[in-house]
Amino acid sequence: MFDITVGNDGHVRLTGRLDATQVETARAAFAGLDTSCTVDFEALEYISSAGLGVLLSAQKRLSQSGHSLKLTNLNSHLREIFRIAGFDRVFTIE
Amino acid sequence: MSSNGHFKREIDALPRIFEFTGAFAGQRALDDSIVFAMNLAVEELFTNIVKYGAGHDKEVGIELDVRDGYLVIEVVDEDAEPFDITAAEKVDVNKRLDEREAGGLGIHLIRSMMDYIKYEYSDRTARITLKKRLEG
Repeated sequence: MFDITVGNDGHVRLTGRLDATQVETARAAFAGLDTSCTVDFEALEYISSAGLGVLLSAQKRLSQSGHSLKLTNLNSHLREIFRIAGFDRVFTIE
Repeated sequence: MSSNGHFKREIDALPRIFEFTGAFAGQRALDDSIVFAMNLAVEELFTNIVKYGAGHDKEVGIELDVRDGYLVIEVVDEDAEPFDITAAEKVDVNKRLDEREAGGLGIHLIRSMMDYIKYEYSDRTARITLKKRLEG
């Protein structure tokens, strides 16, 4: 199960598991962002490289207009995956 | 005793695959971090097979076991083009954002999270064996 909600305040919340079957849902939601946002991972249990690719593509696109994603509330497993993927170098992670 | 499953060569097989890995994890009382790594590695291998082995009908075999203090994952593709993941180009995760590409992260994650990777190929059958050391 995966869900992504985008609040009016630019706060993105991910829920459940972002695996390869959910990539298009995630991609469509992130494609709609046009300003800096906080992405809250508190309710996300799992992410694979498919989801990482969506995040990276969104960050690259937003950076072209001076915007960026800030990632928050990652659990220890996600934090480790993001470190391995070098995302701590291209995202602000809190 | 190992757990064996066979899965249709399509992304929509993933939920069934996660049920399979979840059942195995429950039976063996695996630690959360091991379960996470197992699910990730299985998904990355399986999605690569689906992506690069499309057009073939044969199901993909996945075997899970705990042996000699290791989680052992074996994925078998009986109708495969050769692609040795141990020889795949390394991903530079230190690049600047504008130089980063999304591709290759799956194999990079497997390499980083697993303690052993073996690729065997013969008669169109590819067998990938992964091992991860269990704590304690």
